Amino acid sequence: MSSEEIQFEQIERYLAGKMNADELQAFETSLLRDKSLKQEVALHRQLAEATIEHDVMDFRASVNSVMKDASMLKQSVLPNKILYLRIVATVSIILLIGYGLSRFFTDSVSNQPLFETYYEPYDDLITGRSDDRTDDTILLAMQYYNQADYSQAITYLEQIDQHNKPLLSLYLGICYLNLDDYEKAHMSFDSALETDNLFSKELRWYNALTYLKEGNTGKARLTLKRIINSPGKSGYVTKAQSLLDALD
Amino acid sequence: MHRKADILKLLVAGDHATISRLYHDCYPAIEQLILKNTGDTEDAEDVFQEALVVVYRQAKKGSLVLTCALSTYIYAIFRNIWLDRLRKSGRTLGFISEHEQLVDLESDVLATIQKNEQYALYQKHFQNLSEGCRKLLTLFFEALDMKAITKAMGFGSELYARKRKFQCKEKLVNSIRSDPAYSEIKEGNNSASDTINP
Repeated sequence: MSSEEIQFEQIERYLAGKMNADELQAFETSLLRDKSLKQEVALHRQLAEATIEHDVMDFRASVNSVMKDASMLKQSVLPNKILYLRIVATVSIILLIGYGLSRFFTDSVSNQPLFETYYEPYDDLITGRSDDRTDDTILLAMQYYNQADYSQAITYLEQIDQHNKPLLSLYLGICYLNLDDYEKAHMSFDSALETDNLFSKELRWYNALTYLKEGNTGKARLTLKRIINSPGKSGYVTKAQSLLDALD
Repeated sequence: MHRKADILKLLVAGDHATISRLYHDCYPAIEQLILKNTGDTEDAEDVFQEALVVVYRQAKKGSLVLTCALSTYIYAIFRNIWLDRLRKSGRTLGFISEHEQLVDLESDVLATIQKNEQYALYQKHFQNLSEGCRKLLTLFFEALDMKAITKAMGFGSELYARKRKFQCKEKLVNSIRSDPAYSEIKEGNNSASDTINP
């Protein structure tokens, strides 16, 4: 390990309260004497808080989006009436074609065997966290989730504010999927996908499986393609390609 | 017409119409002051954005009670942010609007402004990381253990997960350290206590 890696590990152990008494005393003595070490510890501590403020980052993105829209509006030339009517007509034609295609692709044939091949519940990442930030409601919900008692898991998950908590929305959606409540499953996944988040691929994967299970093969395909075309490497891209090939 | 408390609730919920209304009400005056004080449109947009984020932080606490118009409050926050940035860059406020209504900000708001300036810098660099690094660091900072992180990220081993975590964190820390704005924050970290929780 490099010296920086060693220092990082030491700081992380200090911040996590994992040093024994002797180590702690020695480290705190160093902090008193070493200004740059004190700055580093402060930086690491603040990073741990700042980088999980997803709600603040999302809010900032919302403000940015409003400012961009306002700026574009200032610069744009308002369409004349004929151009406006052409745009409305074009959009209407696209919508009609889309509706026709969606009817064509809706598949009443059961996809159950394929669903069962590809579905597995998403792992519990919450139980067993190394801090005490996780409250009892979430722990109870995950206990029932792990026991596949999805009705009870939902009872507790629904008590938690899902806003900016894509992981909880993912578990909630999976519970509804297992109870064949497809509408609520989609709602859980879609609401979390309204903002870009780090579980987008997982959310889309289970959304695709929901479409598959309910017989909407067309939408399943579209969602799988979205996963495949999204940036970033992930096992879900491979799984999505595999399922898409199976559907084709 | 929404009451102030309702507007704050809508703001915390990220309601676009509410944000848009505040933008139209407050931004022109802010932009004017900044353009007359060695700043540009980019500065104005950034400061306005951060002023709203500070309001968001305060409103989220649930204890914010406005004794003035929200636009006046936002203006006071913006002015504080801009004065502080001017001071740090060695510039001074030359022009003061004749129409300014100033309110004194309480110490906890001033502390939130300071904290927000730091965290905005860190979050900017965090969002410049790759998706993989952001996800890995989020899981790590959410206090998941390395076994769970290894599984969630699809890594082959915990050893590899630790290595990747260090690489991502090192990238983040180095990019922050190389940002000129960080040098001002560093001085604040020397004198203040480690935990800043206004």
